[in-house]
Amino acid sequence: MSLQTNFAVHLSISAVNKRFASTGDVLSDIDVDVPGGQFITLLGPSGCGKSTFLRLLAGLESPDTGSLRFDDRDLATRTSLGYVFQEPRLLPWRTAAANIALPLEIEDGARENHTQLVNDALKLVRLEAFAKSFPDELSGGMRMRVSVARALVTSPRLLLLDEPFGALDEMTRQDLNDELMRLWLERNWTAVFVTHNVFEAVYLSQRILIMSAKPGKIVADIEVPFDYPREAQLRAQPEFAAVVGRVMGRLTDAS
Amino acid sequence: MSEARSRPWRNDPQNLNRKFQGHLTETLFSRLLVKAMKTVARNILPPLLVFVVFVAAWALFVKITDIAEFVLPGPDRVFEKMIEHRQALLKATLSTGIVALAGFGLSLVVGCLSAFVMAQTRMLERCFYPYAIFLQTVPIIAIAPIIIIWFGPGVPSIICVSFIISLFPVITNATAGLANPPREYLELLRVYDASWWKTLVKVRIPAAVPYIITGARISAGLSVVGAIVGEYFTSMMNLDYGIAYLVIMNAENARTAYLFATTLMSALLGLVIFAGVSLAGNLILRRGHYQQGE
Repeated sequence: MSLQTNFAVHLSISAVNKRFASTGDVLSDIDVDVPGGQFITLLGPSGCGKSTFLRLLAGLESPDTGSLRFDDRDLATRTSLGYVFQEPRLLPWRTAAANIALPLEIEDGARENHTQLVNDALKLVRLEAFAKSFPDELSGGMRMRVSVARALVTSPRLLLLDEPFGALDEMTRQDLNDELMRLWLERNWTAVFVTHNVFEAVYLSQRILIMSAKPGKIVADIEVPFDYPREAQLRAQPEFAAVVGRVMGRLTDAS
Repeated sequence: MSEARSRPWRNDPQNLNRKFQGHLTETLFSRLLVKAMKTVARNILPPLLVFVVFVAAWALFVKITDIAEFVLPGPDRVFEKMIEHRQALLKATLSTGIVALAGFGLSLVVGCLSAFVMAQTRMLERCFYPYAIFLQTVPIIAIAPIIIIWFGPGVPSIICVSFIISLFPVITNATAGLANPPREYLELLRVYDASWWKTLVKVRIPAAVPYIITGARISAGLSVVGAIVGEYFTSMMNLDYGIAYLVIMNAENARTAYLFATTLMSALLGLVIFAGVSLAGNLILRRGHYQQGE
């Protein structure tokens, strides 16, 4: 799929506050502008509200004050997005293909070629051979790829990822990082990625927002200068280590 | 390597035996056979052993004490009566079985529907759920005569008793399942702005299936109890129907061996219906991969 102009969502978040009765202020005065097609990562200590921020974008929570704009739309009228949860969150009674088809089934029957779209999504994450497998027959990495395929099947213009690879072993995580980067380069949605893994954040993103905890605030906005597509050996370069070091420094300040 | 090493002892009987076994396990059929045999050895053999020991002890006790047959007949006498009256026994068991299945089927349908209605609004659930639990604790013996008064001493009454006694496990379990699907799944659907209907069909109902099966399993056993209780009351009004009628007749005439045979048949019927529903339930759960996949 070629790069489309004006395809990806331009996010403008301004003066967003969110407070839970149980934990107090979770997000405080969040201002972020994400140009369409950017790969941005939220990095921060646990409890800094980065997941809450993502849930606000997905409409799973609503902000107390402030505004979230998706191009020129608000939360209620936003276009469809893809969401990858921390765990694969597949329905155990559905096959991989049926799990991927779920968002299409939920839509109001606007699309007819479900099978084609599901097959494309399976191919995208290289699981064509496992279309008929059930989640309990797949490995952890494969389940996560099914979950990514499900998020991508509707061709979303905005993809939200909430620490999707946190539970995987390092090898699988790196594989899936490369896969995610390839998909992003192909499809060019806007990506908001949440992680607490600095290496992953630097490897994947164009821009890293560092958040501090209690209340969650953005304390640093770091550009990652490397060109795409990034290769695995980038992780071994001194420039990479330098950026990682800088990010880690800011992270330590934040927590 | 093992092939080369085994060559000098090719005619060693033990080695031949090993080779034969190796060959045997290679074919799919024999592999299934071995698996089935293992299952039998693990799950069926131990209770079977207990059964054999129990029957032997029973026979021995009767022989030694020379107890009167109308008090405790020996297992051989019970078996004789079973063969002798096989037609009557089979007919009675079948009659009770049909009624129990009808009651069970009704409770499954009505139970799921009422659970479905209750799961829709908290208000309805709050109104009716306490009664569902309360009615579960009312002894069926106390309700049965009323039902007979309403429906008359016939098959409909018996079905009704069986239905009522087996209804509530389905309602309570299905309501629990429909009302509390995993929060994570609901969240997933909310991300995609799923409608009420889509959420119901795609998550709530499928997530409730294991609960409904649990309810059905309990209800299956109860439906047989309910059918026999219903038959007791119709028997008192001289309706010749089902196992309970045979039980009463044999008890009144002190035909104890025949009575034992009848009781045994009723136990077997309960077992068969329970096992059938359990098996069907397990099949559905396995085919749907219902164990949590994550």
